[in-house]
Amino acid sequence: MKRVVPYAIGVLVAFGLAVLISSMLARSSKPIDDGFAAQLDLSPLDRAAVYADGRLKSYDSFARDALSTIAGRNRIAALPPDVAYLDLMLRPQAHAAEPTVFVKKKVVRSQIVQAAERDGLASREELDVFLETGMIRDEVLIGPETATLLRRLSSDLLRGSKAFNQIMASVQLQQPGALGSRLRLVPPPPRVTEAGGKMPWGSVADIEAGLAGEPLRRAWAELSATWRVEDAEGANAALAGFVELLRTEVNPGAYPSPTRLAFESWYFKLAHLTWVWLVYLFAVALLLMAVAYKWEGARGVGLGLFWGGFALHTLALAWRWWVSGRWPNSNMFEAVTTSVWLAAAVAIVLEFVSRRGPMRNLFALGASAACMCAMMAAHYIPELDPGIKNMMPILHDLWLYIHTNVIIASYALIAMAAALSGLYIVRRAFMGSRADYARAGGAMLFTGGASVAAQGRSTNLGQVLDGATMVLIELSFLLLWAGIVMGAIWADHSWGRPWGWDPKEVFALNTFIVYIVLIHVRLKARDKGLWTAVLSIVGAGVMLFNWIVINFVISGLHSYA
Amino acid sequence: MSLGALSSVWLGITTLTVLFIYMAVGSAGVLVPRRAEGGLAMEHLMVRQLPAFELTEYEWFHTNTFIGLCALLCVNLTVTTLRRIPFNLLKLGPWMIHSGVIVLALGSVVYFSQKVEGDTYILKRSVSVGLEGSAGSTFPALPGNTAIIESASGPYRVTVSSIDPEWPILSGDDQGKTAYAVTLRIEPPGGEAFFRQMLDGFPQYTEDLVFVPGMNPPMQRVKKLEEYGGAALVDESLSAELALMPQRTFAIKDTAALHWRAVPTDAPAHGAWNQLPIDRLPRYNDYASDAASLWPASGVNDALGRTLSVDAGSIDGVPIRIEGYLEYAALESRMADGGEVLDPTLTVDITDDPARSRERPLRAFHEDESTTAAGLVGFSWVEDEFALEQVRAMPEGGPRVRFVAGPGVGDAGLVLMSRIESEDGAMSVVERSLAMGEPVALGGNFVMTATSLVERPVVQERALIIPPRRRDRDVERQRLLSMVRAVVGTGADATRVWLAYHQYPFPSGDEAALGLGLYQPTRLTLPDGRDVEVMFSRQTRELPDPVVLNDFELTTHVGGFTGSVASIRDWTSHVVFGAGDEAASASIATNRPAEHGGLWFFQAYWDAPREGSAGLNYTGLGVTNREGVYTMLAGSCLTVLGLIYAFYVKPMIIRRRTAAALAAHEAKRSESTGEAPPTQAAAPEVEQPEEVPA
Repeated sequence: MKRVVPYAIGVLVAFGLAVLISSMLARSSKPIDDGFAAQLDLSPLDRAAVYADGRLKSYDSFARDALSTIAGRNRIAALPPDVAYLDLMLRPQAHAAEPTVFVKKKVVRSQIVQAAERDGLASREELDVFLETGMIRDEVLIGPETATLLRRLSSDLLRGSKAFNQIMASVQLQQPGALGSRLRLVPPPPRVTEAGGKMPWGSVADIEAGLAGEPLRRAWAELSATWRVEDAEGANAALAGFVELLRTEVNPGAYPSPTRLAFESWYFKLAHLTWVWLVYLFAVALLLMAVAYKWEGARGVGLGLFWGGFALHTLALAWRWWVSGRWPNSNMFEAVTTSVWLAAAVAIVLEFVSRRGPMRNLFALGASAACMCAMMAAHYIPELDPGIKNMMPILHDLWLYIHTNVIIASYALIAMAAALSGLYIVRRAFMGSRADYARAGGAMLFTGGASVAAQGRSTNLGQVLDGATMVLIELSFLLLWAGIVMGAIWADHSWGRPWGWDPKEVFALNTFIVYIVLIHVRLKARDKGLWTAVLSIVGAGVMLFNWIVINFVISGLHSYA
Repeated sequence: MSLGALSSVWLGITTLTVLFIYMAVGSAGVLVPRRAEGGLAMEHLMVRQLPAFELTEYEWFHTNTFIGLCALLCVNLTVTTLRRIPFNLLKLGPWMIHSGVIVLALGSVVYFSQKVEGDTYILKRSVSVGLEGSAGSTFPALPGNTAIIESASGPYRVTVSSIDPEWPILSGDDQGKTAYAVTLRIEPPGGEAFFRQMLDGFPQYTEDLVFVPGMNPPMQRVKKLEEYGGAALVDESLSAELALMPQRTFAIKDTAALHWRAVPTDAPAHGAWNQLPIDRLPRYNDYASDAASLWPASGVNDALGRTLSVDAGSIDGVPIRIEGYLEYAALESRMADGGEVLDPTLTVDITDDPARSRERPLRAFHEDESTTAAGLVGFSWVEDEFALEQVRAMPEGGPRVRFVAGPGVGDAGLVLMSRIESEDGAMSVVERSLAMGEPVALGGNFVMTATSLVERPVVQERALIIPPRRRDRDVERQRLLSMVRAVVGTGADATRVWLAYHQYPFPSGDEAALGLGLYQPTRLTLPDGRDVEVMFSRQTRELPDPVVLNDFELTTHVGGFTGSVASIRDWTSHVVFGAGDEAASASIATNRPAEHGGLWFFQAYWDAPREGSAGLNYTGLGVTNREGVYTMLAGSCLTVLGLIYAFYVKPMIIRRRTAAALAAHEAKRSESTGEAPPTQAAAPEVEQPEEVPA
């Protein structure tokens, strides 16, 4: 019983952190001031569906997508996205003097600041805030110098037009008309859906034109009117009635499950649980202590935290899976979060197998480090878009689930191996230890052959780290090669050729080559441990280059992966 | 090289390292430092695209260097395996892995040496129209396409007015179905135009519509109008029907060819093209040997610094050579010197955006064309000082800024006069000489630049290199605006001409309505006086059998097609290969290719709705072969099995053998001495599990 306590503490701390962060996020989804917005109750909208590009989303999810186009990760007037969307549409004048246009590229922000200074339409303080946040008033953009700059950007197809288009998307989408026509809330009539026909859902503009029926038109008019005069109580009542009519009035059979919509809303309100990186961070700290100082208490709590983090991570994946209706591995956000989940699952198995051996804790440590980095990236890097969208047609294939999962699992194992290799190098560099290496490589240690052969020999941390690194490298080596072969099979029946020297393919092969070199250098080199560690980190670098630089900088056939 | 060296593991490691570098450089390029404002900056350089290489990705990975490195690796693997790795149960892993790699390499040799990859478009329907007693016409059913049918009473003009790919049938036995509907506008000689609607697969529903003023709707079905006596057609002598449109060729990716055909003396050119493949044509850099063939622009000097001479075969014995290539350019007609009549023309660029050139010609002798910018900027030509004095007056109501040139300004060449109004309202004229290309600030960010002065102009067509910042990346990637400079003939009789790139060598201008690129063949006269049409495009090949598109199906997610790919679930082309008894039908969709005659067909692109067209009039299929794929797959699988064996099966064998040896040793000792079992430390030496197996 006593032995279980540290583990239980770890799990409890993990879930305690989860409760704490969730409650903080729930609070942050409410407006911070005491005015009209704070008195609004938009919870009925959590069960309202919005049609967007072939998918029925929850209103909250839709509003977050739209607001990310308008304001990036900023908030407009400190309002949560669901309130901000309706407020921009119904009370645009309330935001006329606020910075509502988002400029993503920092270089462009600097250029705009220089032009705006010459135009004299913005104060120094305002421009300083703009440089920091990217948010600026649209009036500043129509100053002659700034407008000229924007025109220049638009005509520079090589370097400027992308930035210009992003700014224009922000400007155009926040217009009340654009917001209204994108907010498609009304299902098509039964005569269309029952005959197997397809047509886009009706928008707010259609409701206002009476195309969705008189009851909905009146309900929306009531909501608009109360919202415009900042009558929160009236708006809440009108909103509840409006949402009820949306679900029941036009075509109840075509309306998606309110439960699914509510869970989609909450998935995003809870920041897709990517904050679980914090749990993994604590796990890393404690497991490092356990490895370095052989402190049993830290080991137990660290493993408990790791298991707790993994449980939350699993919940995040399962939640997204259910909400999106597909296993989450079809965009960068999903690939990053799922890859490390797979690695963590493998680590749990390896930890179980090695629970009495010298390698215990190391796999959990490596997995925690990889999960921490990946979930932190998913939480903070805007390029990893968490929005749920339909998959590209080419991805509707069984091989997506086989090839992609095998490849991303190998990538995550590579990252885990690199984490342990880093520890090995740190130990060698700063602790003056010998050129240790595991005399039996990789899985040999697991299957027992080596342990029998190595009986009577003591192991030190260097040997253990090297051995654990080899366990992970062998597994990732096999998975990477199998994944490349599976990708070739998929490419063969999808694009008509198994191998096309696409940059993504080339760098996957290059990653594999690094590990071929590693394995053969290990055969011949004297300092096997050091070479293994160095090449393991090089391999992880090539893998990350493939995942980041090739995906975001060098275009290719795998740009969606 | 001795066998010992060839069986060196270090040789393999070195080869792999070189391969790694070669592949990384070819695929991602390199970063090189270059001087920039404020110090050094890193510049991304795609090495394979440099003028010294000019290689596509595919070509970079098929150079002799790359093939040699792969061959060296295979030899090293083979020799090392045979000489250094004993063939036994424990070493089966490396044997399988190395054998798998070699089988994979052999499969790759077969695959890549025979690889053909291309694409083709297949139109959904053609329209066949004819008149009793006269030759008819067949043309692709694409919006806007027109045919003229001659008759005794005059020509009929038949135009595809509109196409609805999903026309709902609202009555009759087929009510509820949808059909591909093509509506023709027919202008008979001397009569009222009418429309004929044809539904594909339902010829019984073909009917004419006429415009009846005052009726609602104004377009009325003929059979409902009394004056036509219940007939469905206005003119039954005019037959029109929809037919399948077979595709017989496909264009090969990343290739180049000149296509030519003779032009009959009495008719426009039509029919099949003859193909002249061009090998080793550059793709990524500009080459031009003749400055007079280019308009001044950034990049021209780079192009002129590079020479090119690629043989492109001959047209009936007349040799053709390629002496220039532009990656992204446009043919543009402008004024150039060389005319006979004095007609001074100054080209001025007035813009507030350096990236956008807005050039306009100012013609001094033409009152309407001698000013620009709402009359604020003008150009005058002065023959003598007297004329110059007259211009200096700069009267109110005339241009405020005036360029002046001509013998009257003397050595100055070009003079700029500006009328300035002082604070007290007094007018004065400021005058200075101006260099060609010197910018003049006009206020409000506008800058004016005189770019060229031509005294005796003649309209010339030359190529204009588009600056990189104005290039569309997708267009650039596909080389859609590239062009070659062809030299037809030799010596003084040779004709030089820029030929724009065509994505497909379309047989006629009717296919231009596809939206798949240009149809602009160039007409040339050969030294022997014959006329030919020439087109720069890709190499094409015959398909094993003609392919027709029966139907094209767009499957969407909830809500139908919204214009975004995210709303699309799949595209399916229902095609038929061949004809008659040999015909084979197939449905080709994403991830669902079809094989016919040794070639694989896969869904590549589609006719998306666009302005003026509801789309779905054709499909785009990728066409490729895949020889050696199963050999490659076998090698890959053998490698995977080898890895599993080496990493996970071999340790188990060692474990069992070690345990058995320990047990045997213990039994032997017990039997011989009757002593207690040996300690672990005294265990006999067994085969040590070595490092990982390869």
